[in-house]
Amino acid sequence: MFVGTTGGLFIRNEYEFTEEVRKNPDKESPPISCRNRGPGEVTQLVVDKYGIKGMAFTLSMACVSSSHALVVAARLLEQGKISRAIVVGFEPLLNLTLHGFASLLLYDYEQCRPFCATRSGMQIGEGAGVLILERHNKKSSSAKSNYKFSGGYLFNDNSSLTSAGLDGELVKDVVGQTLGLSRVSVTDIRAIKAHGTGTKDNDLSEGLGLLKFFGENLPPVVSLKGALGHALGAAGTMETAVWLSCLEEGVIPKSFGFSQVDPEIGFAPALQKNPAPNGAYLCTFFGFGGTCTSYLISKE
Amino acid sequence: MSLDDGQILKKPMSVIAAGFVGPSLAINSDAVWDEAKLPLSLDELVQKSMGQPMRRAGRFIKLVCCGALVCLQGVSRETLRGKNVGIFLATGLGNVDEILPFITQVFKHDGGFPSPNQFANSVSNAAAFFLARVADIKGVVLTISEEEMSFESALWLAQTYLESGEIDLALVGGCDVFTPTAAESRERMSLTPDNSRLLPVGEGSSWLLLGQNREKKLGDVLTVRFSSPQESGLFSVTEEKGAFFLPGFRIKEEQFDTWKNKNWRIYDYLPCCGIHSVASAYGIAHALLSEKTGSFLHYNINASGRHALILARKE
Repeated sequence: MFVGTTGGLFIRNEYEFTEEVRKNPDKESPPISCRNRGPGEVTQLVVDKYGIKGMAFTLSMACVSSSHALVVAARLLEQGKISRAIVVGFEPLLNLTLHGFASLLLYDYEQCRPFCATRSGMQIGEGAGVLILERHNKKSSSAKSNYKFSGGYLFNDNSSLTSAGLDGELVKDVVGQTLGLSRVSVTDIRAIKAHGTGTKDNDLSEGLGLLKFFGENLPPVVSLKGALGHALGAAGTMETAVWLSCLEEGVIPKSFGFSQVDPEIGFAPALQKNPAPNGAYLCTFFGFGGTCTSYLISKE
Repeated sequence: MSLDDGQILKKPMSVIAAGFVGPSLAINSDAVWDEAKLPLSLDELVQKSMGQPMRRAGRFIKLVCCGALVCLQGVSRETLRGKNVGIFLATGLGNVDEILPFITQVFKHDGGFPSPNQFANSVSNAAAFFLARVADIKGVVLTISEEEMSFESALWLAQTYLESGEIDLALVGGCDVFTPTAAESRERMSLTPDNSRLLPVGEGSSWLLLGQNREKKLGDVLTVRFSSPQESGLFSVTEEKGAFFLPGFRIKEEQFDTWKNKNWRIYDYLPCCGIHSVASAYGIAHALLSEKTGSFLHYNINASGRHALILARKE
């Protein structure tokens, strides 16, 4: 069991502190104690509740927590270290998170507008997403699936704590590595589920990187954050689960929140839904601390 | 136990270097410390191991970087040059010391805003980023957390990366900091007199630099397992000497005799570092840097009864 979360470790604090403030209206700064048991607390609760005996750990790595967990799980499956992986991402909507992003001036109080010239920040989402991955084995597979995790790549850059650069080079390299390792060509990609947070810097670097890599072969680019908000540590599994649900319906979803092409980026994301053919779909995630995840999901 | 009985890794991990810093903040050595006087200032250690201060970072970030650099200073630059190095940072509680001022600020009655720096440092992978930067490492950098199984999980995962050839070297370490009060620290780790040893709470940043098939090495990590010693076949030992049992903080003194009866000698490192979630990292690094030779088996269970074993060997 592989869990990705970033705000998950604050759950206990959030409730207790809110109560502390509420019950002590006369105190300027009520006493606060931190009783959280670390990012792994929820993981242990789940494995204990369901009697999961195998490997279990938590990746607490900001916005790529659960996307990294997916890549780690997939490579352990490929290595034969495990035969099945339950990959969970969860993220509660917290005062702490909202105040934190507001302090960085990364919060758009009106709307999340990925890749749009008028974008001015993210909107925080919340939720949980779970994917079960299984090593492909015709004899023992317990479920039929038309979807294959067909290659992933994770990378940590150490240039900037808060952005993946502005020139798109890092994004281009990460996507290039993903396709290269999977031996998939640019023209094989049917659509891109981009990270697309709606912040100035992320969308600029991601947009430039995708355009540099794909050039005139750029397939439809979709950010789900205009519809779901940014679920931070849960973004990986939540967005992948939503994406798979759309593919199952035969649809590549449209990108919400866009109205105007940013000339610095130079393209518009998909403004209408499209039919979802068989083939490879690219998913990208970029997070705090120079973290990058990119992977391919094939519909067969 | 017999070391060629199929219980060990097909490709043991060579420990190329190790380093540890405990609550006394002494580098690779033990020193008297007092729970009541924790936490000690890290500024001198930062200056010593990094050559410059880290003014904006909190204790967790500083201790992660100091411990890892102590380990890396045990190898020549040539060992690292051109190598693809992965960082696997294990932490049970993470950067509690950074989180507390942040949440105190947010939960003021008038809805205070934290500083951008406070928020940035409170993010759970900030420490790994700073370590990657000071060590000039790019690529696989993971922050892994699983309460008191965190270091064992990181070590297990690092082994799979080394085995696959995805990385040449793995810098694997555990760090947790003491954040007052001691009573709250115990609560965060679910420590009760029934489920753990009665020892002071401590802290530490303890690291191993691992590779494969190395001739120049401190020793080897032979296996990491998440099953009981009995299930793993590691309970009984046939060696009369040179087999050391490192008890984790949930293994109580009453159980030591059982291990002694199986020919293990007790290597009790915990009084040197105090209880913290990744104390096992301290224990293994401490043992491998000691003058003792032989097999070192670290064993702990978590509050729910899950087991974790690390078997290392030093010739």
